[in-house]
Amino acid sequence: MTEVIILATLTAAVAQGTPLLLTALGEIMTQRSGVLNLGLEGMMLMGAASSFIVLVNTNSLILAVLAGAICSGLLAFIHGFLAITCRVHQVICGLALNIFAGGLSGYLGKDYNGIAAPKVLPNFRIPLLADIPYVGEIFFHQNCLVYLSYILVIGLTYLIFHTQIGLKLRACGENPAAAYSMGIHVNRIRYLYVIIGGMLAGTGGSFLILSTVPSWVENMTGGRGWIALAIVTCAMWKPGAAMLAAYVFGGVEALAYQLQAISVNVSPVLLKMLPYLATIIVLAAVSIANRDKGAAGPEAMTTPFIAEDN
Amino acid sequence: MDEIRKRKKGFSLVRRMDTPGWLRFAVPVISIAGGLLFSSVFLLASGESPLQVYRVMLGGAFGSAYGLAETIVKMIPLMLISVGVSFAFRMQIWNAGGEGQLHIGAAAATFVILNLTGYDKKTTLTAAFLAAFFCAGIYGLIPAVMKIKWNVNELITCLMLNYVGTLLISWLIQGPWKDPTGFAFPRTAKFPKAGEMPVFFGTRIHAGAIIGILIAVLLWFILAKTRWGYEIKLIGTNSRVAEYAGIPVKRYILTVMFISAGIAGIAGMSEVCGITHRLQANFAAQVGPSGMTIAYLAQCHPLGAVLVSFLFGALLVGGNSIQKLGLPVSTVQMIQGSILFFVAAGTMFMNYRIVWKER
Repeated sequence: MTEVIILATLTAAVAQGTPLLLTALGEIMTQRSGVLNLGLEGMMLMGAASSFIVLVNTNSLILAVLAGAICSGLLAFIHGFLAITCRVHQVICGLALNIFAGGLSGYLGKDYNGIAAPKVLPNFRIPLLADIPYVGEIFFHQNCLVYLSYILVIGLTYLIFHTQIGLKLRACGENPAAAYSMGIHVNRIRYLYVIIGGMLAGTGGSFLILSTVPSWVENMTGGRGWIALAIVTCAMWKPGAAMLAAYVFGGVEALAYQLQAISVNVSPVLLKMLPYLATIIVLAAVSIANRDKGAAGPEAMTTPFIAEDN
Repeated sequence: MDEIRKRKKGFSLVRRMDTPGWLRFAVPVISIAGGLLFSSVFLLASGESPLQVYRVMLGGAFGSAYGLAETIVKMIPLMLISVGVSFAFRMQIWNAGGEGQLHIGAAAATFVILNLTGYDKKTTLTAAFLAAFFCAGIYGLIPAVMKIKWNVNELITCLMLNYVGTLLISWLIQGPWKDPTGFAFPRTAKFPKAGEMPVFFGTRIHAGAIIGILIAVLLWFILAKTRWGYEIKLIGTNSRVAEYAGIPVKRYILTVMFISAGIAGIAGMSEVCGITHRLQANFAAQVGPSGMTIAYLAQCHPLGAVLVSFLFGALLVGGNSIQKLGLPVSTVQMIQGSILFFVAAGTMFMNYRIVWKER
């Protein structure tokens, strides 16, 4: 009995953690290129809303996921334009993006409130891998976006740390002036990764509404965008660590549901606080652990790049 | 090298030494117009008439004495929260936790009023005021302490604490503080008369308006006229320089966050004592993000924040009146966001000249 509950919680931890992971992976790239995009919450919401609207109208899961990615990519482009070209304070345009996207998603979703999703992303078993005891059930009996996130974690780790492309990306975030003098189009690269980051946040939102929370209500992301942002910092901008952190937060969320399901004598309202409290505690713990390592994060993050010969 | 040179042809930005006066006026006005136009695109796309929407909003907010009074009522919490937040923003401390602090302040005031019976209005309200200020202030110290001790980003902790604060209130009103005679409604008992703030002109405008303006003037005085205010602004401009100059930056962060959060707590207290007369769910929707927006638009000037809050109060009242067109309140949030985009982009025109370069 306990074994079944633990297994269910861990499986749910991976499912709940994946939208956080997808969003965090995008933000890792955005921040590594030197741009802080605080608009994750808004982009996730917009991703969820647009996916849901497309799903209800076309009944196609593929189109729904694409719609989420494209809409949030467009929002990220607005952020990029303000932060990179207009050199607006990045905290400000990130907050503006959240307000705008939160409002827009509520406005567009007004006729879809409370409708249940006509279908959700199906889980399927990966042959052989799914037969591994415990691990198989937890990791390899999920939906396709979960598998996409595995590929992304491995791919991005390789891309960021072992390729020319990754070197250029990091150079833009660490020392854009040096990168520019090497002939790298700093701002163009920043635009690229801001948009990719937005598309992944949108996919995170799509995942949420196509799997774990399959019904549209205003502000249905409930702070998950901010938790994803916390994951980026906790993971020290590393995709692998982000995966671990995302599953920890997903696990806390899953645990809150499970405790409710087995009717522990605690108010469900208090259980809902768990993910937020966990975020604060983990952030503090990671900061304490890394206290002696000096400045964290890309050196030039939040600093607009202005070419010297401009 | 040739390649770099080649792409230098085009527009480029040159920093202005100072901004001409007409631009300071023109940019915000054009930005607001631009924001309204941008929202129109989305309104049109879903078959609404933007002109109709804006007209109904304007009519709702200013078209009647009632509307105008409601605009001021909605302005009160916005004013308090944005004045508090802009005080912290001045120091580049991103107090995004106004919403949580507001809820804690409201809860503290409620606790005092429901438990401190038998005193006159003055004593009861003063006690509630102090409780709201201190409890919210201490709640605001959590992110501040985490920032100075462990260098944790205050923005994220503040936002997480918003959710925690809001959930804490839902728990209180559904559980321990629930009105036993209130049937299924999740809310506390009604306040005794001594816990109600005085109202003016037979409208819902309450004493919170005066408290808000007094606090704004006080903060403006501190920032503009005192050494303390000068040092706060210095930290905001360059905290490293301030540290070299011997200013105890960490202590300032604690004090400023405490005050900033305390004022947000007063916003909560004035809502429960002035409007709802009990603690209930959703008594301060949308106040948090709007407060930050206002602080930015007012360029963190306390008196400017009062003026911008009036406009945003109008937006909220207008937002309520477009519900009769079948539009959700979040429409207003969308309009706010797009105005903010344009105002943010507008700062580029204030800070830079755009010149065409051919090299």
